[in-house]
Amino acid sequence: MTIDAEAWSPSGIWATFRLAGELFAVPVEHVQEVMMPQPLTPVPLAPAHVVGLINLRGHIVPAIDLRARMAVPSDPGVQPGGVVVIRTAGELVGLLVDAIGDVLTLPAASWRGTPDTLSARHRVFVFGICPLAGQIVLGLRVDTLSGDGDVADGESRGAPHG
Amino acid sequence: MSQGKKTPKVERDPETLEIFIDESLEALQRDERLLLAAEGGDPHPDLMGVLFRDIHTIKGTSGFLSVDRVLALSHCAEDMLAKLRDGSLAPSPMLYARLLSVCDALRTMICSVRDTDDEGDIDVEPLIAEIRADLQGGSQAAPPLPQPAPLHAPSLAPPPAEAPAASSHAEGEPQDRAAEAARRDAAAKADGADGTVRVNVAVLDRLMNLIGELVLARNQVVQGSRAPGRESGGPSQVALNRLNVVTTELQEQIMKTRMQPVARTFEKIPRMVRDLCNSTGKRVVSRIEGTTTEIDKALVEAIRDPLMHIVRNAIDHGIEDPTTRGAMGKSTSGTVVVRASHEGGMVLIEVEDDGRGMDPVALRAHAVKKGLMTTAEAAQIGDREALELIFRPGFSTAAKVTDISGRGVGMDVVRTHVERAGGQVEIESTVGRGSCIRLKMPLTLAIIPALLVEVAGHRFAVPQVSLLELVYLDETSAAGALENVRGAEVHRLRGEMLPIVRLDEVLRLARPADAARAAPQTLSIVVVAIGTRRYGILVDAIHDTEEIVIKPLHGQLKRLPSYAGATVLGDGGVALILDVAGVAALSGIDPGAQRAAAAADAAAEVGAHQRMLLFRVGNTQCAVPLAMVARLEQVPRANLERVAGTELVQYRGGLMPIVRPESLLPLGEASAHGGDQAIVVFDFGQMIGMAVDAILDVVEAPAEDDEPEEAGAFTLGRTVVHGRATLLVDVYRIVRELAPHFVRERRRPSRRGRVLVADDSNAMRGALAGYLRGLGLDVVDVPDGDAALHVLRDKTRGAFDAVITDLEMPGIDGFGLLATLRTELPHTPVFVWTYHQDPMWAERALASGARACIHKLEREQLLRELEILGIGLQRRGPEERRAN
Repeated sequence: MTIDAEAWSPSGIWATFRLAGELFAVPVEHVQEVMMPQPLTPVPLAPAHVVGLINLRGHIVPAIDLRARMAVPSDPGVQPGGVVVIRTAGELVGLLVDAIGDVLTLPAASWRGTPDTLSARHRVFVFGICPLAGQIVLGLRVDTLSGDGDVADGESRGAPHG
Repeated sequence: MSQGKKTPKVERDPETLEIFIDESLEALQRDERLLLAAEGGDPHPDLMGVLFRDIHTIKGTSGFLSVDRVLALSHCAEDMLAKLRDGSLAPSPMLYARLLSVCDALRTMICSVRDTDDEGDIDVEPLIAEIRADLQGGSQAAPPLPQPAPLHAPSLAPPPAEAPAASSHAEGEPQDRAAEAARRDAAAKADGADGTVRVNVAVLDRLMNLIGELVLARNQVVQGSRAPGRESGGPSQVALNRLNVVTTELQEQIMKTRMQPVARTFEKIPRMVRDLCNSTGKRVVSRIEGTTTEIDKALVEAIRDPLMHIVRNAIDHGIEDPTTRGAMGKSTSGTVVVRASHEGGMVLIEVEDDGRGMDPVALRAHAVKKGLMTTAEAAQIGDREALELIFRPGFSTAAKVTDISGRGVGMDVVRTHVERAGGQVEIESTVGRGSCIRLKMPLTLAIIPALLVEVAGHRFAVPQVSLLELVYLDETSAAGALENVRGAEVHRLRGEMLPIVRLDEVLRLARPADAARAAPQTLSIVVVAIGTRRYGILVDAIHDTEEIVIKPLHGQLKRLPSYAGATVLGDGGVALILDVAGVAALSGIDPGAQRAAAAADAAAEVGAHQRMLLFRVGNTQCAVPLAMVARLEQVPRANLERVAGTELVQYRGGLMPIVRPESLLPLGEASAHGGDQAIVVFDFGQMIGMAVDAILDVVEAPAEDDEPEEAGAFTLGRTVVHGRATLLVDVYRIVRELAPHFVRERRRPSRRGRVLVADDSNAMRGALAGYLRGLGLDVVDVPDGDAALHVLRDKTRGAFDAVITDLEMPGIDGFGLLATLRTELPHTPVFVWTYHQDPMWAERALASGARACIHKLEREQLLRELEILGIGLQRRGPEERRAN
């Protein structure tokens, strides 16, 4: 099964990062910048996955703990190794990741639909996979990251427009 | 996507379109202003010329941009204006009204184009038909050629095709274009538009952001330069100082680019007032003051709708119709004043009307009817709070729903809008005299002064606009400074019960385990206000004030009510900006909670005050704090009357309601016979008597309350006096329960009393004023009634606790003063102070609303009266109470 990866990344260029042993990819079109871990200002009463605010040269950007967002158990042994700042729905969010990866060119044709073996909650955040030699890249759905609604409602959303 | 419009998509140059929209809206606003002036009998000398040029320009550009219906209507209006300009059609109110309708329709369509890229559903044909009829009827000389077809064709007439149609009856238009442009330039110069540039707001916002970053970088450099080991005064230091100065000035100037006079918002008001007068049949004169006051552009947007709504309300609900006004002795046309001014770093916008005002009693009743509160709750709230009811969602007082207001969405939305923009709404009203609604807005949305506080290691910014004062209590005063009243923590601040919010608890901030119960020895309380409500935020530390740049929070965090945004601090760290209204809502502090605290004031008083009045009802010994007792009386039982379910007694020239506590308390049967009835008189603004069987004693009693619940809802507990179990009676609750209509706001003897003395005898006035001042009162003395009214009406001078007036004075005499104050300041007690001994005079004075008529030799009586008001010798002042 092929999927419309072009809708996600017309350029076919993807920024990758590691999280909980997996390699994730986000379209470079959405990536504002990548940076080292930053000091965080916690936001009391915020949803659990919003772990704080980052001062990005005068912009105030919420930092999202992807583990918490995807309900992956947190690993006290792993410190965030970087922040991927992405722009979704016109706003910036910073994703805390275990490690920053390479920028890869992954043509639309190389993408496949999510296999049934992928856990349901992963399927909400992953629109497809791209098998590479030795590893599988998971395509991250940037539209589901910052919302705090029931993760299941991500299922019904389509690819972003434009 | 549901944009199923069938209109052919026209490719318009977005930049031209934007200029067209801005220019046209500006022109329409100017036209409207001129038309209104003309309607009011003050036409601009070149009225028709200006209008013609404006509409002509709109016509030309709309044709070019293929905005069909705008083109059709402006074309038609231009025909009319051409005739008006050359005099072949005579101006009339009807034509002015028609042209105003044209302005409205054009604006609606242009705004719609701006917002949706489509002119919307408006049908201009009826209006065009009316204009044609005006042209036909109005000028026999040159009947206009009817030619609707080319203009209203659904597909567009492109500009070249449009030109011949237009030139056929607008004289010599094509060759006029250059001259037209020159004229427009001249007009622009005349309007003071010379030397200005249109700048996109987004660019200004970006500049603001950049300057914020520059300030940050500057701060870091400055901090670095102060590091130890650096010598000061070197060349780099000079450059640094320069950088410092330039950055600050740059920041100020960029701030200024965002400022706009409020005039443009206010300009719409006269038109609206006129339209409302027409549709309601009321007569209203609007007055606009302070139009040059400048305010941040973003705030101009924020106040526009609330302001319009308030003005609408003032006319719809406030101003009476001419007949009613006439009957009340007011001038038949009402006045609405809209005023802008700067005050203490804020912009103050007031809408004042001289209408009927708001009646707290009616507001309470209405709130009950609407199901917003129970009768008992309504009876408990004070007049000020009753006024605030209009801000409750679902509260709408218009007897009938009109198309103007009264749809139940209104003041609550106004308050939400204003508070969201960092402002506040206040309200003031006097029955019969009118209302004043006051918007207090920050100067700018972008940069605000804020106080930094720290709680559990988190830093927060509290906007200065919400800040009232800071209270710091050291170890000794902190002990016992927070009292627990019915589950809510309060602090007694100058006699007021201030609800306390523990920020760490509200925001669920975790404290390090070791510091958990190493409770701070001192207390820092930030006292904040939301409207007229106030509460205290308990924090760990209070830092500096800083000018902070407000940054919006990410969409997902905007939902958190506790924050108004975030900001970057001087050290590069991020701090959240507290929304004091949101924090109050989260903590459950609301007027109700404050009321509970106030009601429980009496309870707290028992603890602090140990002098109590002992009395007996049935066979039970009861006690009330002596400080609450105004006086003790014995009246013949025969004098007690029962009117409409309330027991009353003639008392000092008025009727005093009597409550019987035994109906609410676990007491034995009170005796109903015997000669005299003993009465304990309490002052709740109105004297209220409690019927008791016997007055026993005044004692210093140790107030060891049991659980109040055990003894009943209307008690504060039990104690033991003279070896007998004694019920501590909760007078407030009893009186509120049994005689709710008679309870006014409780007078708090916490302030220095303010008294106005009016007497035409210099010697007498001087002696009395001097005497009262000597007792610690704040006294203003005036020689006659006119001066007294002047002072009392001057809002800037604040309220007076009492007025003492002579009867015979030049101009407005004592009776005149009484009569006026009875309607204007019905809650201010007035004492007549006279040499007349004739009871006729006293009776007349009391009938005119005097609280008491006191002989000039009876100084002691006057003092007693003042003391009853809580403004006499300050014996019951909170300071003393605490010292006891």
